[in-house]
Amino acid sequence: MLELGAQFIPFEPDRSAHDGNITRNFFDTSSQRICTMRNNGALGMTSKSLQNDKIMNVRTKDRGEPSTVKLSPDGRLCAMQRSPNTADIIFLEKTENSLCLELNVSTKSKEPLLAVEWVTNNQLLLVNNHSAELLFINEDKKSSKLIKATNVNAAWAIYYAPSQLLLIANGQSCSNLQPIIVAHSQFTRMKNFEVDFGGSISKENFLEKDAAIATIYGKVYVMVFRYSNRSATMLDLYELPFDATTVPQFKHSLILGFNGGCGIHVIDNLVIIHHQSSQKSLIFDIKVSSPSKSHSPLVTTTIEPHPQHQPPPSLYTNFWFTFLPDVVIDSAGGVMYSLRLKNEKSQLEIPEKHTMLEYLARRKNEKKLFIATLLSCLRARALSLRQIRKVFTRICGGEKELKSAENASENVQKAVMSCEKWNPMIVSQQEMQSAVLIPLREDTSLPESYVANIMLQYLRSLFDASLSPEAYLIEMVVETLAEAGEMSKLQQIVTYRVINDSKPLAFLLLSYEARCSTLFQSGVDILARNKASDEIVEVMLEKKQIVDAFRFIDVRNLNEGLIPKVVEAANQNCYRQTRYAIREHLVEKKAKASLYKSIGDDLYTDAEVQEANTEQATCTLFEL
Amino acid sequence: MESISNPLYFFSNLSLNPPSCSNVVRFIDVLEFFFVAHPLSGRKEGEEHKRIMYFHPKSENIERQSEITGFAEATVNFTDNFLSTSRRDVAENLNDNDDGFDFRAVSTQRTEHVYIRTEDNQFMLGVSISKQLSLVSNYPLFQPAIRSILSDAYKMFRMFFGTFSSFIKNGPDDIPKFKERLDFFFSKYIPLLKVHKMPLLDHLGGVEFLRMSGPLYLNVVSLITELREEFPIIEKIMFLYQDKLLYYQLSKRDLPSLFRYLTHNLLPTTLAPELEHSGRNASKGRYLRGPTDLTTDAPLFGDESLSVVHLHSEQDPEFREDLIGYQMMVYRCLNATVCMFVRNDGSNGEMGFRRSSDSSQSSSTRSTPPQNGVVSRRLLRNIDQFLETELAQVASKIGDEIGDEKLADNTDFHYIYFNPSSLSMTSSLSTSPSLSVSASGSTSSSKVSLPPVDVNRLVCDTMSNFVSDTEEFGECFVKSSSDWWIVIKKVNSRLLVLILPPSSYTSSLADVQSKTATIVKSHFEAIFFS
Repeated sequence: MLELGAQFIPFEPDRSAHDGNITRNFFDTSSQRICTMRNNGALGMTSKSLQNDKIMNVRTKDRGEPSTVKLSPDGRLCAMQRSPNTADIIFLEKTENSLCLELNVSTKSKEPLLAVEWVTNNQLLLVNNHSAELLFINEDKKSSKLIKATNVNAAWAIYYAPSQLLLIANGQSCSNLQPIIVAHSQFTRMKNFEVDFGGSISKENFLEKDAAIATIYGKVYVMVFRYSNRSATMLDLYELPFDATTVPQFKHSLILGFNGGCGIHVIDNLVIIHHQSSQKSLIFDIKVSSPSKSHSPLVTTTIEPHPQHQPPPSLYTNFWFTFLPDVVIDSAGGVMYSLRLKNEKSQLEIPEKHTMLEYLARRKNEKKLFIATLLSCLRARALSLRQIRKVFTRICGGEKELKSAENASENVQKAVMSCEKWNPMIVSQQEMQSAVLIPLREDTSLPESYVANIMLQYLRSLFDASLSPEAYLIEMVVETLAEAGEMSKLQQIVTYRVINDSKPLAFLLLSYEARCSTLFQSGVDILARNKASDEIVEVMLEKKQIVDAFRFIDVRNLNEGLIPKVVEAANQNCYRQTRYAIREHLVEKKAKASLYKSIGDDLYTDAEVQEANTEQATCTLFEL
Repeated sequence: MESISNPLYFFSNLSLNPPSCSNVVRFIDVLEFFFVAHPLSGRKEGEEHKRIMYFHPKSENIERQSEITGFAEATVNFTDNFLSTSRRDVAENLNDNDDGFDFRAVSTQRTEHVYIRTEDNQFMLGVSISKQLSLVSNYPLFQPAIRSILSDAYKMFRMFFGTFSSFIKNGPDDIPKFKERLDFFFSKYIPLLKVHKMPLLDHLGGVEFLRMSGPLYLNVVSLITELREEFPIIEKIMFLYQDKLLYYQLSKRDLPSLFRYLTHNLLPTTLAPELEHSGRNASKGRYLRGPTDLTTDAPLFGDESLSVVHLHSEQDPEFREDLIGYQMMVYRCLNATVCMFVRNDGSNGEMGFRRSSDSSQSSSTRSTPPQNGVVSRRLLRNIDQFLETELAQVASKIGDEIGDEKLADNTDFHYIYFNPSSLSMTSSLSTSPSLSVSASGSTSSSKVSLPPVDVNRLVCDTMSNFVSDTEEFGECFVKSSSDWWIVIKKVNSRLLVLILPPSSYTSSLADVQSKTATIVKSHFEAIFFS
């Protein structure tokens, strides 16, 4: 499920040649560039990145071997640490063929530096044991100026550029972590917290290499390896709040199940741990529900190289260096690779279909794959209805938890930290209809009742998400229920007005009268609610309820244009006596409208009048 | 001796005194006699009394019992001669609906008799109401209602024990057993039976549905669909909230009896323990019947086995008299009750009954089968797990919505609404005994006093004389001598009876008509009642 090297870039590997030429490579995690220094820059410094093709090539003075190389976000400046106590700023752009200009900076106390980081294009952060200082670098004047300084007590420090977050370790055994936000030329201290790294006599101090920072599902986590003598290593995730007053909390614990060297990646909100000796990679998704805070790997897999690499590079070697989020550097081969997820393989790797669909729904830009997989799972009837509902609820955007998580940083007052937002996948009603529901309905191998139930589950998800279903969807649900013969269910659903009223729906229901008489009632109810009086009269005439149609017209004071139609129906269906009553009724109303004059007289044929006369003549009147 | 597995266990728990100033009357207060007879058994001269299978009151001497049943039989046989063939067709048509039985009514100076014949005219049930007593009790006699009460009694028996004929199909040796069973049932049923002072309610015999919003209702539907998918063994299902019906998947013919049993007998008895344990695990669902310990896998015996009910099959109306035994599971959580029915397999319904009756009545000498029915603790446990959280969620959502709407609807009139096609009935005059504590109470909040007995009688008379059973539409306005107005509307088969108390706003027919229009508009707006 993991593929190495869809993107890659070669570089000159480290070497110390006999001729005295030395090549050293540095990876700058903030700018995600690899910098190759030949003879400490005297023979050139090359920096490359996977994200863009721009290769930077400059020459610097050889002032000793640097221990760090950091490029400013715009790539115009480079900070290099060649001595423990100072850093050199190198102005990259200004020199075409000559050597670069340099500027030497240090902290006030000139103590050994723990971190040198670019905060913005012209602000450099220096951290030593006792202070963190923010310098402004004036590119034109080639000068530096202290903007801000704060006292810290640091054993080591790491910097997370996306959130401008500086994490400082201090305290006994270095396990007290102090997050500081460096933004707007200010240091903002957040609540410090203690981590459990499984300290023991053999391992006294919490080390920089055992901590990492990453953004997962819109939240920033500090990831800490916790070693144990008895059980296998765990990776603990501490969630950093967005404000400065909440204490960071231990949230998740990933069970690695092995000991020994490993690399860590965070790709598309998944934590991926590569274990070197077993040549396995574990993929963790903290959103997969778990009864406790502990998570087992969702998938255990092995990295596969992209087919473009021939011969395929050897994997999980000692020469591999991994960097967050997705960089693998093969220091021996001299290639920097990116690692990517191959989600189309998740069908094979994740046996449980519901988990698999939820997994896909959480991935970026995999909507097409998700919809196709969903359809195939539904066709194969691989999910229970309850699972289907849960999947639907997720993609409708109705899950409240998701909504709140999405806006967590905005909701919190006084948010000082920011990070990349996570937007859950939303599948629109049209997409669902055209790509899932209609194909299901057209699939003749599936029982209609199953399809109808799926649609009802979808309808429920929409309601739960407070979305109003589209008329077409409702019509389809009703038709499918009718095809499935679930008349009693349909009737109960209509009675409770689960589905919105509309005239077409009413006529649809009326057309089912033959199969379920109660639906007729419901249909007329809907017409009545829609004030479709004319249609009701038509329906009544259809049912030969002539007198009631008249009554209805009277009660509602309806358009008189309907009267001729009713009279015509009366002529066809009613007994002579009824017609007489109708005629009398019309005559009575004549005073109000002259319209009826012509109609009322048409009610009888001569033969009928004759017949009535005979009847009257021969009948006997009983009087008591 | 009464076992908990016996369906009638709960009948005995109900209090006997009717609520004061209520709108119901104890049936025995107006009853003169009630009997079940099997005419074939009393054919021989001198052995006429053998046709009597059950007689109430028991104190009546045997000669009188024979006389009464003999008269009934004679009446039926005699009037048979006058039934034209067309009339007979009508009778059979009624049978098709399963709601009507072949019946005869005899009215004497003192009493009103109704006899019905069931099961291919093999059996006869009869009832006699004393006119004197009903006058004292303010109970208006309405013959169709008495007929319905009688057939309801039969249907209730049939639901729990199967058909009469299934008892005696092996010959006369089984008759003592049959008598015992009849006695067991009716001796409890009749004294506890309450009838409405508005007999129309007993006659219509609908069920009360809970009103709620569509989206929420869909939650119920989807929960039940999920349940049925997960447990295909469940064939029939009913969902109630408080004492009102929300959803059902079973034959309409069984619905009124089951609903009545649940709301009048089973659920009220659960209320007390629920109130006691309130606060503790309130949202935890539980089974109302059957075993209390679900953690083991021990087979279900005796007290722990589930009761069996005999229901019509839903799909094929051809076998309309075929009753199938179902084991009934009743699961309840936060006022929501799910009633599930599992076919009592491995034996026909009758055998299922035999077994449970044996275990409930006396320890059987027969070798007991490993378990009564197919429901096991395992199944109960699995269903419990499946329903637990979801049902609690749905139930609390319903509770919220019902609570929101709990504004007392101050009506200044009485009404009966009945839809024969859905069996939905609501009325300001009906009561749901013992559940009124938890019920929303919307029915009892009417400001007006109950209509007097003459108005009730007038409603019944108007119904039988002026409103046709077969017509789908009709309208009728009646003014009583005590100035009450009765409005009967029938639209699209639905019936609406409004009973308006005397007031200055209802002096003329036009006033009443406009008042009716207002009521329909405000209270029945969703329904087409022009």
